[in-house]
Amino acid sequence: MGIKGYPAGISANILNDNSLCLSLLRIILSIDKYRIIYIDPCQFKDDAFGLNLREMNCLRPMDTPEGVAFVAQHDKKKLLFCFGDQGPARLSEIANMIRDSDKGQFDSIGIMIVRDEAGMKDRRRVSKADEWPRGFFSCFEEIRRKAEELTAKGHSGRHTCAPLTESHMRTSIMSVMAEVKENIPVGENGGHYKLRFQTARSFNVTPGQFIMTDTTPRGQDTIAGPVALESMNFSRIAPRSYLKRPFGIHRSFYRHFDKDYLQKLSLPPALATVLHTVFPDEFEIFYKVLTNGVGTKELSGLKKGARIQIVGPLGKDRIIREIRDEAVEEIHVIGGGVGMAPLIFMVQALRYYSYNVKAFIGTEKISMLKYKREAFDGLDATFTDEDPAIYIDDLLETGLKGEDIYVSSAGPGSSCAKIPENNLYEGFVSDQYNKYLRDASAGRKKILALACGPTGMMKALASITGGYGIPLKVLMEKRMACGIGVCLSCVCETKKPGEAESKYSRVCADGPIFNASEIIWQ
Amino acid sequence: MAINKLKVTLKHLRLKTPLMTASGTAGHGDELTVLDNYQEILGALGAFVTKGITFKPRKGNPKIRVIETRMGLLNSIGLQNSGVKVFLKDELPLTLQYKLPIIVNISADTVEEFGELAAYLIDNDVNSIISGIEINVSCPNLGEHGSIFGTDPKAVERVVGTVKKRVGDKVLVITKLTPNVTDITGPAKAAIAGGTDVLSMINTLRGIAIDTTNCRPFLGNISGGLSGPAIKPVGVFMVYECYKKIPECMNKSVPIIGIGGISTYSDALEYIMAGATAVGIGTAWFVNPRIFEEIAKGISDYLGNNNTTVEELVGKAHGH
Ligand SMILES: Cc1cc2nc3c(=O)[nH]c(=O)nc-3n(C[C@H](O)[C@H](O)[C@H](O)COP(=O)(O)OP(=O)(O)OC[C@H]3O[C@@H](n4cnc5c(N)ncnc54)[C@H](O)[C@@H]3O)c2cc1C
Ligand SMILES: Cc1cc2nc3c(=O)[nH]c(=O)nc-3n(C[C@H](O)[C@H](O)[C@H](O)COP(=O)(O)O)c2cc1C
Ligand code: FES
Repeated sequence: MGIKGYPAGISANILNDNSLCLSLLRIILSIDKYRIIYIDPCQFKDDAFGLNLREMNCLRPMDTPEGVAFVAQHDKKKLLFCFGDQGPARLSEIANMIRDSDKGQFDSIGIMIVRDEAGMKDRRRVSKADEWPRGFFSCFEEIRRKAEELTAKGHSGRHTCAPLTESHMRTSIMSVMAEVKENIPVGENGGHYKLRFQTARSFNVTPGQFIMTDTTPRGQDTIAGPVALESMNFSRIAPRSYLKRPFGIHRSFYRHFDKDYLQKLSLPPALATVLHTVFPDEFEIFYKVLTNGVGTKELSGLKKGARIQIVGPLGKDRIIREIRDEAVEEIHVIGGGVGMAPLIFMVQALRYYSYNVKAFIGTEKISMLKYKREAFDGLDATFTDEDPAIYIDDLLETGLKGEDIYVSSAGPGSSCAKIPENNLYEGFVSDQYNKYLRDASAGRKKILALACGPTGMMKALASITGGYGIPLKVLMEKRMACGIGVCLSCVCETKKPGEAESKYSRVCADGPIFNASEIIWQ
Repeated sequence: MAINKLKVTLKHLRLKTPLMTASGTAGHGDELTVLDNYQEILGALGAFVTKGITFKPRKGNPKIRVIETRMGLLNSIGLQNSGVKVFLKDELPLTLQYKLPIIVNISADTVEEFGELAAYLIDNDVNSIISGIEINVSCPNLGEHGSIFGTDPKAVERVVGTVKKRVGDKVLVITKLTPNVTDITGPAKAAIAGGTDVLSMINTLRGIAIDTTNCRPFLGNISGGLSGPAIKPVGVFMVYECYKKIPECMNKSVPIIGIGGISTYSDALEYIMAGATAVGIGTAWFVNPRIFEEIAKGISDYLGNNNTTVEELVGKAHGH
């Protein structure tokens, strides 16, 4: 007997596997208090793995598309699970029906279960995004690991995750062409820009990781040969950049997901650790144009449509796993100046896993964060309360509330209707954070602090958090040449507990995130 | 790719292409394996040259270690490495998976230490993994001592002679020359007198960059070594000079590896035409991770279009 929509001939094994998968998912879903409200009997083997279809509801609800294997519900949130071995046409039909009936609320979400990890990676490619629009992915292997870990722990570890397999730990470093989508000035004097680019291929970068980018469009040859005098462009006598420049990822964008989708999405935390979206292919960096900076000046001149080569993802991709392994309950991100930029990407990921996040932004003044939605030349712009502000609006988009956002600035020009007055502070962000910790009775919760910014700020935070027994991780920044760990340019002095002597660690390959307690500050 | 047109030999060592990594710019373990174009890189390379190692571990230089200058890179890494013992035990075995001839770059503060280090490498290389030893007589980051070797022909001859005596003919002995001299043929001839099998040139040129915002040199070590496109004409000149003025170079009994600023296939061809049998690529690889395959393809196309081979092009600029 074949199954509707499935390739013929493999049904017996598939039915058995599907039943196992369902039984494991029930373990995970029960942690998040989800109930199974519908099962398609044709897709499972009755009596396998404690499954008793006669006790289950096998009547397909009106709003559930045919082909969905089972549905879990909690309050008004519904998860519709689907096995990935149905034809692409059928799958995209299902996904479209879920999306259309849901109207962008993320009350109903589709989850495609793929048999193996390699298959899932393939499904997540951007080129296949239209086959499963606005849906999530998971795979048998990850579901099994998660369920095993939960049963081993007696259902206690909320965010922990099983040890990784080798295939998980290594994403290869790619050199890809990217197209500039937008490059707009931010703040009053055009000293900062945000640049959005789209990569030619899926680019699986995780928080804390960074890229190295060309700052001028790439010609046929990287460096041209001798140029005849008459064809020389004398403006070229100004210094030009040679090496690529490192930048943290500020935000990432996913096909079919609105940029503020995290405001609505609230994934069940246990399940979230085995759910994946399509790979991102659009990214934003936020950068400061340095006064004597050659590369950042070139970068600010890039026009929409320019093509640049970028290399990445660079740096370790372990941070989210570590946070889960350490069962952290609340995360404080503290950013000084452009240091906040990569932390926004971090918050995006943390919000995906439903973490409580508090953000502390240090800036010269809030008007330095504002930009116009329409193109403008940046120099004479004046800003109003309506204009969006990077960081603040970015954080609100991830679902953070105004009261979770704190801003310190040096002086006037810093009103902001989007966050409570009490959360504004005049002075250093490290002082504001210190004050926050003093006032908050944060005592019992397991907090982790993450910081990025000027060395002085991070040094101050290291001693503040030390006083409260809060572990602090810092994103380090050093001059780089290769970005991949071979040239030893980008080192910082570190000493791990138990090590007799300090050594120079590579920020690009061993970091850029380090435990602050291991850094020897200069 | 017409691979046999690309093949060259350095003495008895056969290379499938004339391209090599430049020491210190491609690590010395399995670092390349993380790249998505790893297989393409291995396909394009004829040999792998490790980062410089010393007998004892070295911590390296403090503070700022690199600064970009116009079309160049100034570095003072200071030979950070974990020492020959860890190198042999943990790092070199990883490099094996590249399945390329491996050339180990060595540095030391004294003649004796050079000899000890070379002997230690060879004696403990039980599986004969190492194809060549490149003597770095020219690292400018070792304070005064480093430069003394490279700029004093007598010292070069002593270092090379000592190393050659300790390793014999087991592996190729390559001497890497410094460009910080008035006449490159002096140290080149001295290295040949000392018994070197191959010459490689150039290492970095010494330079300083000053931060005008605080009136101090950028680098923690004050001065550093300049690499990248800015130094290419200097490197090509030195290869040209050695080829022209030293009979052993011209008759290829002591072949030359040309290094310095190569960024395109035509840069590589310039070195070859000046007299280099093989070429090393360093800094440009930081800028474009696909440089090796792009250059290999460029050379291969050139050879096809001109119906020639790399070996025929060596020294072609000298007009015979
Ligand atoms: C991992 C990492 C992430 C970063 N993320 C961001 C970010 O999100 N936003 C942002 O504005 N800046 C970021 N930076 C700093 C940014 O790379 C530099 O501001 C930029 O390279 C300066 O380039 P330039 O050509 O204008 O300066 P120049 O002074 O002309 O550059 C000369 C050389 O020095 C290097 N350099 C100069 N200043 C710095 C610096 N502060 N840090 C590191 N290298 C430097 C350059 O990369 C270049 O190689 C990051 C740096 C690192 C290491
Ligand atoms: C970061 C860096 C590290 C280097 N380390 C070494 C080394 O350990 N030993 C050595 O002989 N040369 C070393 N060099 C010199 C290179 O091997 C090469 O001779 C030089 O960079 C010129 O080539 P390029 O312009 O292609 O980089 C180093 C160069 C750089 C940029
Ligand atoms: S930049 Fe080369 S090792 Fe980090």
